[in-house]
Amino acid sequence: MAGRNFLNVARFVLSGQSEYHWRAAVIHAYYALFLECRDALLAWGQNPAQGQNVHAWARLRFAYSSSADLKKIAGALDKLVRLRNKASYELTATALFSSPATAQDAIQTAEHELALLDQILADPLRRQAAITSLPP
Amino acid sequence: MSTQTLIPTTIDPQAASFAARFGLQAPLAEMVGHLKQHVPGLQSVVVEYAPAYDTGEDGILIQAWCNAAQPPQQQYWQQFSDWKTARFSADVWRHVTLILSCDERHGG
Repeated sequence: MAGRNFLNVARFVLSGQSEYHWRAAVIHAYYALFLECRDALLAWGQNPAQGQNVHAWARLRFAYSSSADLKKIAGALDKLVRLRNKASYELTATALFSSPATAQDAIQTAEHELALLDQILADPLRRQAAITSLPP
Repeated sequence: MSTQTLIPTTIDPQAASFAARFGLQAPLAEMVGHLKQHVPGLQSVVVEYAPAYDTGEDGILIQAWCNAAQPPQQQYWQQFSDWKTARFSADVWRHVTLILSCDERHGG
């Protein structure tokens, strides 16, 4: 799936030397994980209701599943979406983005959860269990 | 006095109001207590309201700061997240998010 390519962009801008590079890295790390989760849900036959916010839809489908793996990914999505919102919208100076540390952590979180999602997708039994674990 | 009570904790009024509206006061207090007990080098905790912006849901953000001498924050964040999702229902934990950061300006 294509969403993970944003992780390469996140890594690239992480090497920049400004707060806005590090904010951008956080934003791209979130989208890498979010888009992969959205596309996994769509591939599993799940669809958001008309007009439903797709960010919340993907996060909450995972959060309300009975799978510990999907809940773990939901927790990471939750963290990354809050960081992304701060990075995108709250532009007053904050220690969160005064160094590359937060961006590095966001990239590491996205990498970690993408690896878990890949394990689920690659294993037919785990994949089916994940699909079955989703709420009706 | 325990070490926990010495860690400065701020809860902004909007976050308190959100917690009251959704009946989250007790879970939120438990989460902050758990954090103080289990994250070494914790220097301060700020509980703030997190607007939804374009991502669908508002909520509560716990911003916890460690001193810079502590190991990478990911390990402690993951432990907290695993505990939170096991301890509370999604109806509760979906509203509260932890961001754990280390920064030299917060001690160490």
